[in-house]
Amino acid sequence: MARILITEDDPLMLRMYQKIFTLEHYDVDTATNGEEALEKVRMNKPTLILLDIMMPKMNGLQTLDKLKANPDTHILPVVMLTNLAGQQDAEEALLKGAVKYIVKSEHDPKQIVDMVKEILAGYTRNAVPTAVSPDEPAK
Amino acid sequence: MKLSTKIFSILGVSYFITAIFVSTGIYFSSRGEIEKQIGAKQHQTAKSSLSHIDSFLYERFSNLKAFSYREQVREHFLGQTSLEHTSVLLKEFEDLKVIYPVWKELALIDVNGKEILSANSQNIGKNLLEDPLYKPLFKKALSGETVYSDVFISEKLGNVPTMVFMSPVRDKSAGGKVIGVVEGHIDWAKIIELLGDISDEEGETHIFNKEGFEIASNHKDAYKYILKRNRKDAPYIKESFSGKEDTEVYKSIDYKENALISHVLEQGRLSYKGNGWIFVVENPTRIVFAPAFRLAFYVFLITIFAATILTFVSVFFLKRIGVNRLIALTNVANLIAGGELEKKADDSSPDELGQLAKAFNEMTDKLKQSSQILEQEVKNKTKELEEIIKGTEEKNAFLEDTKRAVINILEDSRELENNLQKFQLAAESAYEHIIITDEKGVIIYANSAVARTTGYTREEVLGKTPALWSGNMPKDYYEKMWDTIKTKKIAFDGEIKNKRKNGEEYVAEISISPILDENKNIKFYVGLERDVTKERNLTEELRKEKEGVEQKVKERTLELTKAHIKLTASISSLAVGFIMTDRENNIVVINQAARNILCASSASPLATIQGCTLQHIEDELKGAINLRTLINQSVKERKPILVKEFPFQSRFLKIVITPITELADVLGCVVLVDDITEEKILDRSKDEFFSIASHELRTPLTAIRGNTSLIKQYYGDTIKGNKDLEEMIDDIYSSSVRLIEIVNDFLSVSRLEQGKMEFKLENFDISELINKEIEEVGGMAKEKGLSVSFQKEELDGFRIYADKDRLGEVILNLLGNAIKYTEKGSITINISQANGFVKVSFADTGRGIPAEQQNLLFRKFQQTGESILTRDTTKGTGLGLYISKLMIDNMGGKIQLENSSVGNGSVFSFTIPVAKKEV
Repeated sequence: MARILITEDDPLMLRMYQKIFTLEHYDVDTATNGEEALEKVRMNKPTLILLDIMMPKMNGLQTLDKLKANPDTHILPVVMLTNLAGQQDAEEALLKGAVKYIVKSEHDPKQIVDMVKEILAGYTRNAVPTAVSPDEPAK
Repeated sequence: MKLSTKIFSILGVSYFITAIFVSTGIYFSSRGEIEKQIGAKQHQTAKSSLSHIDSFLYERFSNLKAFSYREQVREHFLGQTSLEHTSVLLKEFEDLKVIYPVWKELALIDVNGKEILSANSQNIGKNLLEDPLYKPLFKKALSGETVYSDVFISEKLGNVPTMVFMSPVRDKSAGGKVIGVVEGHIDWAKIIELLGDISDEEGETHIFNKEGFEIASNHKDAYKYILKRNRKDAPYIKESFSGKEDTEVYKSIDYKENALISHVLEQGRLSYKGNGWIFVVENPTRIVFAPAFRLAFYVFLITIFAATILTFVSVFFLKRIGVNRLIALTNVANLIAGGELEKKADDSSPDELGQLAKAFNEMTDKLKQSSQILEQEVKNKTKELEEIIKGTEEKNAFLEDTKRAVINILEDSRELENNLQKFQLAAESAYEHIIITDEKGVIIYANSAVARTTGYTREEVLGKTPALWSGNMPKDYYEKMWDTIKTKKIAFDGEIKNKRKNGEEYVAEISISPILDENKNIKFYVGLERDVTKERNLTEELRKEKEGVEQKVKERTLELTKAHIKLTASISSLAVGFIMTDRENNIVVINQAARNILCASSASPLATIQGCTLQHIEDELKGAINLRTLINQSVKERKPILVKEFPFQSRFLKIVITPITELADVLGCVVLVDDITEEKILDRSKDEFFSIASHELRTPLTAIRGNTSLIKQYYGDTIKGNKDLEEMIDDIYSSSVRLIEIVNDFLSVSRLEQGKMEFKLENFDISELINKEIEEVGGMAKEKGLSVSFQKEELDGFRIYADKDRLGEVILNLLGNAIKYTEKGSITINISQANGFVKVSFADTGRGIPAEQQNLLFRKFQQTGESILTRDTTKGTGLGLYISKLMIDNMGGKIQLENSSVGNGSVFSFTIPVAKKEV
C-alpha cells in the first residue's frame, strides 16, 4: 500500500485530497507546513510526497531542497501540487527535483489521483524507484 | 581809309560785277542753245513715236483689209459657205488675235448691219445699224471706204478705250459690189503700252485728238487721262490745226509754265480728211535748263576766283610802283606836323614824286625858322607867368587842407549810415525774432520774424510789451528773468513757452540782453526768440521712442530671464537627472537630480556634489555602461540612444542620450538619467500580487470544484434519484470550472499586456500539438456529435518555432470555440506552409459570425454579442480570442478570421514561423 504524504496548509484542500486518496485506498499522511512534512517524512517514510508551495514556516520549494539534500529522502518522488500558475515556479520546482508540477485548480481530484498512480506505476515498474538527479530533472 | 584798302575795294567790286555779267550772259546763251537742241530732239521724238504708232495701226488695218479680200470671206457673205469654212475663218480670227493681242474683236457683218460671224460668239446677231456708235462708220464702210473710228470709250464695251476698224468686202464677180464688212476692235490699252515703250527720257509724249482731248501718253497714269484731259486752248494745239508747218519747235510754255514743248501734226497713212492727231513732246524746264544754270554758276565761281587773284596782284604792283613812296612822304609830313621839323623827305628820285619831296622840304625849312622865333617869345612869357603862379599856390595849399577835412567828415558819416543800414537789413532778415524795447519793456523795434513766431504783425507789436504773447510760464520764471536782466544787468538765456495770436502754444529759446549806457543805466533791452517747437517735439518723440525701446528691451529681458528661470527651475526640479553637454563633452547644465543619482553616492573623492564632471560620471558608470561611447554614438548617428535598465550600485537606472542638433550641426547632447529602482520594486510587487491573487482565488475554487467532483464520482449512488440535487451539484461544478477559467484568463491578459508572460520558443512539430489538442476536446465534440478532422498535406509534419504550451492554448481556444458554436456538422483543421510560415486553419459548420461583429472579434471582452448587457455569460469571458491574438502576435505570427457567414460557419486561422535552422 502506497503511502502518500499530502503537504497542504489550507485545511479545505488538505481535507479534500485526504478524502480522495483515502477513497482510492491510499495510506494518507498529512502535514500543514514544510517543517511538519519533513518530520512526517522522517517518521513515516511515504512512497510519494504531494507538496504545496505556499505554506507557512517553510515553503514547498525550501522543503523540496531539504528533501533532495538529505540522502535518506532524496529518492522520494515529490509532486508539486499548487495553485501558483507562474511558469517560473514550476520550472524552479522541476529543476530542484520535483517529479511533476500540478496546478490544483486545473484538475479534478480524481485526475490528480490518476497522475499520482501513473507516477507510482512508473516507479513500480522500475522495481526500485530511483532517485531523480537534480541535474537531470525527470519530465 | 588807307589808300591801299581803297584801291583793293574798287578793284574787288568791279571784278564781282563783271563776273555776274559774264555768268548771266553765259546762262542765257547756253539756254538758247539747249532750247534749240532739245526742241530738235523733241521734234524727232514726236515724229518717231508718231510714225511708230501710225505704222503699227496701218499694219493692223492692212491685216483687216487683207482679210476682207479673202475668198472664204466673200463666199461666206454670199452664203456659199460650209461649216468647214466657218471654222477655218474662226480659226483665222483666233490666230490673228493671238499673233496681235491688240485685236480684241473680229467680226463679219452683212450689209444689213448684222453680225454673222464673230470671234466672240455672243455678238452674233447684233445689228450695228441700231447702234449710234457704229452706224455712221458702218455706213461709210458700206459705201466702199475702209474706215476707222476715233478712240472712244463706251459702256457697252466695258468702258475700255477702243478704236474700230471696218473694211468693206466686195464681190468681184458682181462688179465690186459691197456685200459685207469686216470689223475689228483695237484694244487701245495696247497702243498706250506701245507708246510707253518709247522711253520718256526724251520727255513726256502725249497724243491729242482734234477735239484737243488726250488719247494716249507715255505717262505712267496715261490711262487715267484718256479722253479726260483737254488742251484744245493750248497754243501748240491751236497752232497745229491752224495748218502751220509741223516741224516748227513751238517755244512755248504750257499751262504749268514750266515745260518745253514740241508738237507734230499727224499726217500719216491712216489719216483721212478732217481727222488727225497731234503728237506733243514736253520736257520740264527745271530739268532741261539745269545744265545751263550749272554752267553759269561754275563760270561765276571761276570769275570770282580769278578776280580775287587779279585784285591782289594789282594791289601788289601798284604798291611796288609808287604807293610806298607816297606813303613815306605822307609819314614825313605827319611827323613834321607833330613838330619834328628836322625830318626831311627823300627827294633823291627825279620823277614827279622827287619834285614833290623837294618842294616839301623847302616848305619845312621855312616853317623851322618861324617856329624858332616863336619859341623864344614863349619862353619869356612863361617866366612871367611862373612868378604869378608862385603867389597863388601858397593860398591854394590852405584851402586844400580844409577841403580834405570836410571830405573826411562826410565819408565817416556815410560809413556810419551804411553800417546802420547793414545792421537793420541783417536784423530784418534774421530768422530769429528780434525785438528791442525801451527800459520799460515797450517794444520799439521788431523784425519781420516776430510776426512769424508770435502771429502779431509788427504794427500790432510796436508800443506794446512782450507780455502780449508771453505769460505762459510760472511766475517765478519771469521773476528770475527780470532779476537777471534788470537787477543783475546781464543777459538772460532760457527756454520759454509762449502763446501765438491764434492761441497756439509754442516753445522758444530766448535770449534777452540789457543794453547799458556809459553810466551803466539800462537804455534798451534786446530780446531774441527762436521757435523751437518742432525741434522740441521731435526730440520729445525721439525720447519717447527711445523710452519705448528701452521699455521693450526691459520687458523682453525680463521675459527672457523669466523663461530662463522657469527653464532652469523646471530642469532643476525635474525628478529625472538632466545633464547637458557641449561639443567638447563639458557639462553645461546638470540638475540636482542628476547630481543626486550619479554623484552623491560617489566613492571618488573628486566627484563632490558640486564639482561633478562628465569624466567623474563616466568613471562612476564604468562597469555598467560606457557613457562616452554612447554619447559619441548618439552624436554620430544623430539619434537618441536609450539604455532601458542597468544596475548602478544598489539601484537601477535608465539613461536616454539625445543629441542637440541645429541644422547640420551637433551642439552637444542631453543625458537624462532616471532612477528606476522604485519602478522595479513596484513591478516586482505587482508580479507577486498576481501570484498571490491567483493562489488565493484558486484555492477556494479548487475546493469547490474538487469536492463537487468527489460527490459526483464517489457519491453518485447516494444522490441518484434526486434529480434536483444532481442538477445543483452539476451547476456548482461547472460554475467553479468556469470561475477558474475566468481567473486564469484575467491573469493571462494582465501578464500578456504587461509583457510579463514568458515565451519559451523552440522548434517542434505542430502536427503533434494539434493532435494532442484534438484529443483534449474529443470529449466535448463527441458529446455534441461533431467530428473533428485534421488534414495534413504532408506526412512528415510541420516543424515550427513557438512556445509549445502557449500555442497549445491558442489551438485549444480555437477548437473550443469551434465546438462551442457548432451544433452539428464538423470541424476541419487544415495545415499548409508558405513564405516561412505555417498556417493552420479551423473551419466549422457552426452558426457563423455576422459581418458587423467580425472586426471586433479579437478585442478584449468581445463576444459575438452586441452590448455588455446582452452578453452570453455562459460562453466565457470573451477574452479567449484576445489572449490567443496576444500570444500569436508575441510568437511572430498572425491570427485572423478567414471568412464567416451566418449559417455557414466560420474559418479561423493563424500563422506561425517555421522552425529555425538548428545550429
